[in-house]
Amino acid sequence: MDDQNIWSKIVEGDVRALKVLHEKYYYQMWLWACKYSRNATHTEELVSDCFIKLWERRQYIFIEKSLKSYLYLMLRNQIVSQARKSKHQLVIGLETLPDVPDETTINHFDYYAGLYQAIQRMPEQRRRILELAAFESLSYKEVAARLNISVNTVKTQMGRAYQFLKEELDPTNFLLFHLLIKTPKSQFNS
Amino acid sequence: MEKNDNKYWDLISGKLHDELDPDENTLLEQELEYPQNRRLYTKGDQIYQGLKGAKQLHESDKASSWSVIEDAVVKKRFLPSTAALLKYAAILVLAFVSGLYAHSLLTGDGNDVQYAEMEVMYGQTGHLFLFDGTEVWLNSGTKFKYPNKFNQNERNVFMEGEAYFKVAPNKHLPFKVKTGKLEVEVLGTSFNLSAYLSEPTQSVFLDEGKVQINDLVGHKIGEITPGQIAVKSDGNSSIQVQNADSYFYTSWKDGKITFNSEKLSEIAKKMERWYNVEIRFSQESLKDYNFSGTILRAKPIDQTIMAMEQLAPIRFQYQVRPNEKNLITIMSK
Repeated sequence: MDDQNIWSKIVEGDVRALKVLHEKYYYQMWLWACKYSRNATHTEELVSDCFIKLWERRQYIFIEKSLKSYLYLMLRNQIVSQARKSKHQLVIGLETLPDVPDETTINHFDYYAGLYQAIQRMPEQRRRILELAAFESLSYKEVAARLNISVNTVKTQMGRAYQFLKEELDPTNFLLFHLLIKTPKSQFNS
Repeated sequence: MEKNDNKYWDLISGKLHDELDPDENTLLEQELEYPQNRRLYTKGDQIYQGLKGAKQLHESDKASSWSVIEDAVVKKRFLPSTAALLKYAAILVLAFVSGLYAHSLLTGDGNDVQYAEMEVMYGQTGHLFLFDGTEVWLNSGTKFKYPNKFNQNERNVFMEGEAYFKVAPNKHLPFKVKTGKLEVEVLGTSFNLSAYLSEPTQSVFLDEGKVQINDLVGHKIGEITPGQIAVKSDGNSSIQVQNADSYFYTSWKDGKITFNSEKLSEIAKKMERWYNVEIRFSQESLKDYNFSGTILRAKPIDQTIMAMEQLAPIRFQYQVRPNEKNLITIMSK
């Protein structure tokens, strides 16, 4: 479902469409908010609040061009107003906060979010192994000890994990992905 | 081929995670002589870098975020959506509860009166029943105040803004709406009263029954019959009465704003209240365009704007502002 469809369903009051939108942009928004937030709980609040506000104001919001840039703009406002409320206790680095992330940053976020979502689709054991090795920086030996499996299994599963991710983010899809999400700068300035 | 691919990926991931022994390293280097293998390695490296960026997401919790959102939106779906209107919901409950005691309250000794006060935000409307059975619709930007019990001689309520009243008939207890500028007195009837503090005129439109218009100290300054509108201007003690079409003064309570060759400047004021935005004109002359038509409030503002752009040589520019009302600038085409 493209953003325009999602948005018109949200305006009609369809909560499922809000869920689709949340699935689609939660991780990207989280990555951006987390740069300006002191902890993960607070980051999550910032992002959740955007979706709640979007829903509450759906009758009065005028999406000029892109729902995605509107979400980022809401998130920015959320960060700024939190900074004011908490006297910067929860928010950091506000002086470097741009109106919206630039295109390169957005593309990176999209890539990270896509990778992370692909990891969630892996078979359980493979996912655990990759997470320990990549996110917790454990050596193969440590991963093997932690999961009570052989180093050889870790090695094979890591290879398959990489192959899986490569196939999930297939170059042709990947290119299309980037073309779809390309957002001209002018949208943010209007 | 498939099997070979598997083998390469073991080597590639092993290399990236610094887990190859010297033999495997040599083997990989040999394989990387082939361009197609080098391409695979580049992709692997991209993933390796990407995983570093995705690492933070391990602390995120999408499911918990959604359950917070779902709670907030599903619970509120059947209630007014802002905090201010939640307060209003509480008053509504109060109004119903009070209704149960209406009889004893109405015959009470009249002391110890408390007032419930509510304010309808811009972009919202309100609807409530008073405990005597009177039904009130409140337009955007309206303040309304009423007592927890009426005294023995009259039913007094206070408002600023615009409201439509369907007053429960009681010939022994006149119902009086007091505003900062005039007072409307009725026995049992339906009428619309528009008295925003910020506007230089106030108007009373009568749907059915009979109303009397008083000055601030309660002296009668006029009376109208159904289908008539009384308009009072600031600084003028008398009222002007004329016939009018009900639709133009009462349709807002059904979620519509209807204009009958009204000036764009007047329409802009209504839209500001209905949609909670600020509207500016780039040229004074644009304010004089006349419009007739109906706006459905449930429609998003962009649809209203598009329709108006079709009707006159004007265009709207919408600007989202972080800490203020969003700004609409009306320009010529």
